Amino acid sequence: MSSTIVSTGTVLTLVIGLGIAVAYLHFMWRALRGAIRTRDQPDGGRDRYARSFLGAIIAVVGSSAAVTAYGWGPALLYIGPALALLSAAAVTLCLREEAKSSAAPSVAE
Amino acid sequence: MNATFLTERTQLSPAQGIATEILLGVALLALVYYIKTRLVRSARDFVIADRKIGFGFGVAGMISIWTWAMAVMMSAAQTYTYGLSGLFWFTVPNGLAVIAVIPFARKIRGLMPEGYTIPEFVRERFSGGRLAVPVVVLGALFGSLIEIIINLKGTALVTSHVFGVDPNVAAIVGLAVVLGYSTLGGLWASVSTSTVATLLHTVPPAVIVVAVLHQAGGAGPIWQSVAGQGHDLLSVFRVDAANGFGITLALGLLTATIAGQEYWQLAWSLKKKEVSRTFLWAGAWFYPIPICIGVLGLVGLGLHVDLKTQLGGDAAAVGPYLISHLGLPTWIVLAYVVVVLSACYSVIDSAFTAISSVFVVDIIKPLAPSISDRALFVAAKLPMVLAAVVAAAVVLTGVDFVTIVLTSYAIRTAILVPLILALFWRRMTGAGFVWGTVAAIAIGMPVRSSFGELWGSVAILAASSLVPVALSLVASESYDYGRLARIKDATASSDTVTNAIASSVPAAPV
Repeated sequence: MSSTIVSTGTVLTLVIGLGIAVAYLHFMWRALRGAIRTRDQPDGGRDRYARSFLGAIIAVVGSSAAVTAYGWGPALLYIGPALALLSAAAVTLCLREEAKSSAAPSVAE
Repeated sequence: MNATFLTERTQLSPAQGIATEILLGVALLALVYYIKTRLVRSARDFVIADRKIGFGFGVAGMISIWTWAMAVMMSAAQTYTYGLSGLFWFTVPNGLAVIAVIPFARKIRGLMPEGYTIPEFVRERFSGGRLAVPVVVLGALFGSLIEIIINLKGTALVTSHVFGVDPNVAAIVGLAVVLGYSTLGGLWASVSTSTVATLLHTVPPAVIVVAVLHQAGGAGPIWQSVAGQGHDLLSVFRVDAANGFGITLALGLLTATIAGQEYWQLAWSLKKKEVSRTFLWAGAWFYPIPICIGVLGLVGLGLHVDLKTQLGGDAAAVGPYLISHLGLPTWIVLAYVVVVLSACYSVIDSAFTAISSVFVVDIIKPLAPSISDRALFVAAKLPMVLAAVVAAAVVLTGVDFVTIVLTSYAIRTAILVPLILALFWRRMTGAGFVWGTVAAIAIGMPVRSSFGELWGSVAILAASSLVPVALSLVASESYDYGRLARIKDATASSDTVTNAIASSVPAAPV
């Protein structure tokens, strides 16, 4: 394997990462355009999110389990890079949702 | 396993290091310029993004603002020092600290929808708060200044280790770059550049860690080498990690977010309906960053990297050292530098924005209540420049900034409980707030210097809880939280009000 591309695993991670990055930047751009388009619309709605406590427990338990799993075997060291890619994908979904919500007609209109 | 995988430092010149710093800044500047021309029209846009930050930008921005150079380099450093227990105690409280803001963010946004800063809340909550406000202003300014200085140190550490750049030059170039784009776009600039930074904190580290594992001989040999060293390095239950730094770090992180102006400002700048889930998602999806980069610490252990001879006694250098001594291709080395630099830049620009909002709302506006929006817009940028000058002076003169760190730590930790009581307890009084904070500093700091961080933090929290509760119970006052909802927007000036009326923009429902 050429030293420039290091390993097959590196190339695979890079390809997946680039795919996520393209989607991320695409939806970031759309969300930004949406923010510009809706900048004069009043901010409606109320903070009713009710899953914070459950979400916090899942996040803490999940992260603890991921760190603990490193100690179970060498292959599990790759959980970290996989989670990092998953994190980028999750934020992409958040940007996508923002882009979609700003594209939808405002409730206040 | 031995260190045969380690090589001479990858040959990269100081000029390449400076160029990397500037090019990253130029790329962010282009984005900020676009945003400035489309979204930033007033001091309110500049300081609080017109309270229009949505879910996506909120989550991405917050992840990056919370990803200090510390999260990138210290996750590897604590893993290298304590094994998986170090990574556990570094990582778990970090994400939790962001999630823990949810009840406070939700409460403050509901009570005081037109707020900007913590000192502003304290002033309104305690009807002027002549003593309380200066303490809180000082805490906010010192806290943000410390964030700038620590992340400048991060910039200097990585560029000096990887490129051999003079640390002072690296810090000043980084500072100038961030100042350049921060003064253009304010909070919108901070959040949008931080959104780009979050991408840089997630995808490149995944690629880097996979490449490092391969280059270091593979995950198997590294894991076997660490396991063979004993000392429970692959266990998360080492007590010395909790006692050595874990518990005090957890307290410090909670204080940094719950009493941190940056997070209150974000809570006020988000769209109302997005506040809670933005903090939850940001905290949850922050976790993978230190979990991923922490693997570098295991690689350092596996390759027997020596703390004294190879890292100069600084465990935080384990990441930069490995990246530049594993014979990795230049693009991987540059990717790592960009990860660290983007972490530094995003924290520094959010600190600039926080300082700007405190100056505008708590210093300039009270001194000149009828200031025009145009003048306020210009004035909002001056404190950023001032903060940059102070930070540069601290870095260039080599002044030991321990005093600033201690002052910031003391004030932030000391106001944590009084702030929570002010937010949730009607009977909390201004005297309780002030004397609770003063007692916590007066008692806690000597305890800290004599008995260490853990007991110092316990003393500060105990004093800042008992004194306000006792004084407030004696006073027997009751505050009407409804008064907070009637507070006017602090950046509103006569011309913006006129403009608002002229354009007949309907008022946002509260």
